[in-house]
Amino acid sequence: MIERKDSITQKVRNLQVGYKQMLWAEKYRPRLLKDIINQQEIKNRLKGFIDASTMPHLLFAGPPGTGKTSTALVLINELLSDFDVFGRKEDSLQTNVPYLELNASDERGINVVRERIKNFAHLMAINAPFRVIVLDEADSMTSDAQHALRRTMEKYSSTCRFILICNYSSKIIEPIQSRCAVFRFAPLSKKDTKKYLQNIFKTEKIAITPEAADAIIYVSEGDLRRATNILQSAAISGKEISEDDIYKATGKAQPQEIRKMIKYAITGAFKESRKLLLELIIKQGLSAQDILKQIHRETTVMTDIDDRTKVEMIKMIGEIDFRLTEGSNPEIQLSALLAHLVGLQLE
Amino acid sequence: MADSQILWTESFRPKNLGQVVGNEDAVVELRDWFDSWSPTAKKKVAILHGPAGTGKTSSVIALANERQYELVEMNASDSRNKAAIMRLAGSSAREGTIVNGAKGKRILLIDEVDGIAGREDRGGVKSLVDVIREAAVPIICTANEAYSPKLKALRKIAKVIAYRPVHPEYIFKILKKIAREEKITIPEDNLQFLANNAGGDMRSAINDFQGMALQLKSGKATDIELLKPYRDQTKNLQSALTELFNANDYLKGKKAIDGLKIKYDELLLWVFENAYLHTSEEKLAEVYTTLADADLYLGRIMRRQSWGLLKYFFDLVSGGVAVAIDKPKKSAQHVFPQKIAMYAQTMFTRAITKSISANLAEKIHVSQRSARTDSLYLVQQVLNSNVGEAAKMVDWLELDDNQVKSLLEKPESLRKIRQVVNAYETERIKIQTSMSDLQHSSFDRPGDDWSAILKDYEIKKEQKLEEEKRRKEEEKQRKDEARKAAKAKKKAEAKAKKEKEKAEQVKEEPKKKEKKAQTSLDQYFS
Repeated sequence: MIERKDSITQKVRNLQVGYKQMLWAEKYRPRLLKDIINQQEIKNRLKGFIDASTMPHLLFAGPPGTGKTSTALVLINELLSDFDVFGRKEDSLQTNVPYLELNASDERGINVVRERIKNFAHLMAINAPFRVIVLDEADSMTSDAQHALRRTMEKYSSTCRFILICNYSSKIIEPIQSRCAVFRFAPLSKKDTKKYLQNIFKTEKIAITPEAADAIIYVSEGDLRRATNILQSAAISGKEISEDDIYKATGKAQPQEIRKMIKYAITGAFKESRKLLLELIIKQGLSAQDILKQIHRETTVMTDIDDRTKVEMIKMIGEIDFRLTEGSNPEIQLSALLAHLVGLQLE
Repeated sequence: MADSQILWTESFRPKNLGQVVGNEDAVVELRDWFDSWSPTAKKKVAILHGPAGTGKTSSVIALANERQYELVEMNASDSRNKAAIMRLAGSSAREGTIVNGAKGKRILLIDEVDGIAGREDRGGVKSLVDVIREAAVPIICTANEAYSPKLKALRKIAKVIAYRPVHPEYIFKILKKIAREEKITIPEDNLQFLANNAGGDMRSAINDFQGMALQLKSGKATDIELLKPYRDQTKNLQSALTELFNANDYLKGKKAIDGLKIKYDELLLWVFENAYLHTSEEKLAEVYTTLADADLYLGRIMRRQSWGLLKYFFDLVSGGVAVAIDKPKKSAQHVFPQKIAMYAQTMFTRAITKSISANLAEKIHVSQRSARTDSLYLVQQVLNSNVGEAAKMVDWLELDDNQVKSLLEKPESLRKIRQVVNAYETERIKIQTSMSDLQHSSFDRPGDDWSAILKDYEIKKEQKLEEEKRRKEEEKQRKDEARKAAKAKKKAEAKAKKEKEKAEQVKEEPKKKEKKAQTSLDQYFS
């Protein structure tokens, strides 16, 4: 009874502090299964689990911003109806809360994951049919860690169910996949994105030109979180949003410095280019993968190099991407790429 | 007092806060915090954080000295459970000890709080926070890194004060002062060298100096020989690099780094930092591809612990680079790796950005990495838009002053934002207490029907709101009436005044006429 009371007061508190969701991506996160955009087939299957109030281990795979985490949260919220998933987080440390959210890319060292997962999974759930662990970005786990996880999943399956979330199901080892019901989230269509955005336009009373709305849909590539972030960024000024504002907001998400760094390199200013690279990685904390992704994008549209060199560049970018996964130093690997760019303008 | 047994780091500790050098801002913050401290203060504890030897502990000792407080220290080696801390910081400690009277007022210093026992998700820090809430004396903690996730709960009730590496010039001044007081004659060059080499760590510089002085006294070395062990290291690296860049063949290149005492990854960074200065644009790609290949081996070694591969790394870094380099400079001073320098400079900002991303990641259910790359810019944008929105954001993410400051373009708006956030907080406490009242009143009822209670609460809330609304309206009405009355009064007064003036004018007019007539008469006669 006391737990139940706690969960209800928690819900009341959430009502009280409704203004607190400051990022729209979070504010407009679906709270009910029926609010999940598209993914009709997935919703039908999950509805079955809710009706039977049980579920197997689940694996959600799909591109970013298609509703994987949201679906996991609403599913838990409906299955474990005594507990409120939205709004609180620190309470998950209490032993009586039957679910745990972990992000595999944040938990450094698989030992932490293993220890925390085991400690959580082996206890019986109170006031709930079972405990649930949501393991986000599960594809960033090494295969060793995944093998360890596989045993845990089996051993404690009577007390605990897993929801693994990843972008690529191929990065999850076969034995885990075979223990899970796999759900593949399709990229969202333009129509779906539009429907979702229009709800925000209306609720937040945003004035926006139709061209700008189309621009958001175009640049977000079916990623709802990205779309919402861009929209919020463009809406901060409070004026009517034009197409131009959207592209500016997109630019804020991708630092101009990367383009500047490439410019330096192809004009032979290696020293400046390298310094900028260090700043991006160390001061701004950009990941090498993000930098590489944008260099890749820029290379594709670059006009001052011929196609043959372009292909050479792509090969090199791919090689570096692979090397980074092998544990190499990003600034040294990327510097080699910059040095190549310096060489290009001489030919 | 030329006792060689005493450590200079102890005997030359600053006696008051004015003597703490190199971190003046931090000292001011510490003093302000201490002066405004009370058992009910919001920030009941101060965390001094920064690298070793920057004056954290010294500041606390100096503070206690200056204000004549008794300083009680707890180190990592002491048992730091709740009972132990309460014994030292509880209400019995407030009035001072019997022996020392009022002079025995205490400050409790908890050293290296980041080493406190307990896992992130279990009680260690939490029980410390509980103790601090009850404590009756000021508590100061030191930490190497206050922004570690472990200390999150502690940060909420803490004033975080950052100590930065001490500038070499300050270290030099202190060393000179010690030399003067200990009557040691030593070339200033040597002291300057020690200061520059300490990496901002005052303690290590003083210790090095004391070691040197001992050698000097015992006659084991002349003052010129003293620095040899220190200089050798860097000199070796400098000349090895020159040799390497000038080698122009594979074997000579390998020989250049032979016997060099440096860690392999540091060697890679030194070569990486300086190689382009000795290379033409045509060869740049070759040199850096070679370095990237060497780095690849290092990655593989780390990943698979296959140390047998290390020889290929060394071959590529030395011979490989030597072959590729084509424009060697004979007399070049090789510069310190920028990467290491930049890491050191940005230590604080990076830690703060990381802690913000952690807060954000928790709220929006994503990884810290994607919080930082995909959403942090938005938070920053909101913080710099307008105070109201910024305050909501700060409140939502539970950011502290340092975190907010790091995101603001205009740091002066911090004060305003904080004011609004505090207002939110009071409001929330009000709601919570009213809710807990509600709970207690209905807790004993048999067969609790929570939906009814919930409804009850909603109704009560609405009633309350309505009541407030009514009250406000009444007040408004009252004010309006008062304003109307005041207006009417004013009008009447104005009218009366006008009439009076008119009357006076009427009175004056004949006089004026008279006067006019007089003047014209005067003119006429003159």
